[in-house]
Amino acid sequence: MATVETTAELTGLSLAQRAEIIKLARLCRVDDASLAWLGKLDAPLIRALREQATAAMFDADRKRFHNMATASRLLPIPILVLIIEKVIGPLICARVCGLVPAARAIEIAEKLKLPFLVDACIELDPRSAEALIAGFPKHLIVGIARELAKRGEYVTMGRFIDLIALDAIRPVVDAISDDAKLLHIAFFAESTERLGDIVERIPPQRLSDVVLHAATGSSELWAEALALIFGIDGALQQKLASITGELPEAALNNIVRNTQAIGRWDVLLPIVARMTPALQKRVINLPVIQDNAILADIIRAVFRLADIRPVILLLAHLDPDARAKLDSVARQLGLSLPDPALLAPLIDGR
Amino acid sequence: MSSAAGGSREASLAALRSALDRTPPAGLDVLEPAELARLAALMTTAKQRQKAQVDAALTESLSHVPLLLRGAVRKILDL
Repeated sequence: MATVETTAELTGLSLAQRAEIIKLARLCRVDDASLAWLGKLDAPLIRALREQATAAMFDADRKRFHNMATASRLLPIPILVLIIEKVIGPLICARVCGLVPAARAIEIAEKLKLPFLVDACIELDPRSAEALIAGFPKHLIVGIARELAKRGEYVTMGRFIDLIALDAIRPVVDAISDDAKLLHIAFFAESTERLGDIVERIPPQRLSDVVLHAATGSSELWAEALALIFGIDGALQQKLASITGELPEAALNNIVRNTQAIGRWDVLLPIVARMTPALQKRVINLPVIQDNAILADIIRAVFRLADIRPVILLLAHLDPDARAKLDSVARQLGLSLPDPALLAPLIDGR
Repeated sequence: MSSAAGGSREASLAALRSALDRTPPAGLDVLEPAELARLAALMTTAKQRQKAQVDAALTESLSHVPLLLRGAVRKILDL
């Protein structure tokens, strides 16, 4: 099973790097911790390597399977289903099905037993699976999704959720009642666009439950939630940021501790900057943050940001005592935080 | 970089190119020669393991094919 929770050795890498390394490890059938050294490469480069490796591994056998796909067209579907389940097996089935016309492959898939179909889905060539999975009927998608989630096949699920039809997202979300599993799946989604599609289709109460679950859970689960919130665009990010800012104080305290533990203030601070001014004020003045070690890490993270301006504006909401303490910690680090009043006019749209 | 390290870097890049069946993506120059060699070995092993797994699955499938037809099926599957 691949989740970010199994990867303590990957601590310190960006969330996107972690997800990519876990996916590459899964493709190469090695332990993800053994690839921690690839953290020198940025996430898009690891992804490019994975895509090239996928092509090399799956294309190598394409010709052999093409002959099988051609031969399979001569057999009636009930006999073919029998042969696939009893003789061919899920691995070969997965390789051949992408070479069979999608409509016929879907017809065959509907007749296969669900556990077999799920075994085959795990082995599918992601590139040839596109037309196939997009065409699967909803009941089949929900059945496969439920079984994949039960098996903890989150990398496969991340790929799967990218390919299913838009109107199948909600039934899949409803079928997976475990909020942590939804976060694991979102963590491995291939496209940020699809992440937005998913969040858009999660009912508001479920979305709040998922955020609360992440906020009150382990640091690893919080890392996945951060990746989700950070990965989506515009209004949706603002919506998730607001849900987070409105959490009970105990949950926010846990978020602070977990963000500190995973060293990801550089991700959380821009999210806090997306909250309403009232929520920003609430979050940045939390007593739990007024700790020298936490403040020092926050300051270091601010100076690592590509655009510090939205985050610096948060300072305007700091209570005077908290601001004085922050400035004192900054001085100890040999740094000086800019005055938000000077930056405000430079922020577009503010 | 010493010429020996440069040479081993070239060899690793060639091995990686062979494993991936194409020119690797740009940006791998941040890897040390030993890491590049490790990456090439990872990809080569993964591809070999994948092929062995497929061969094993095909051979297993063949055991269900009547003896008389196996030679022809082997040929079709390039086994």
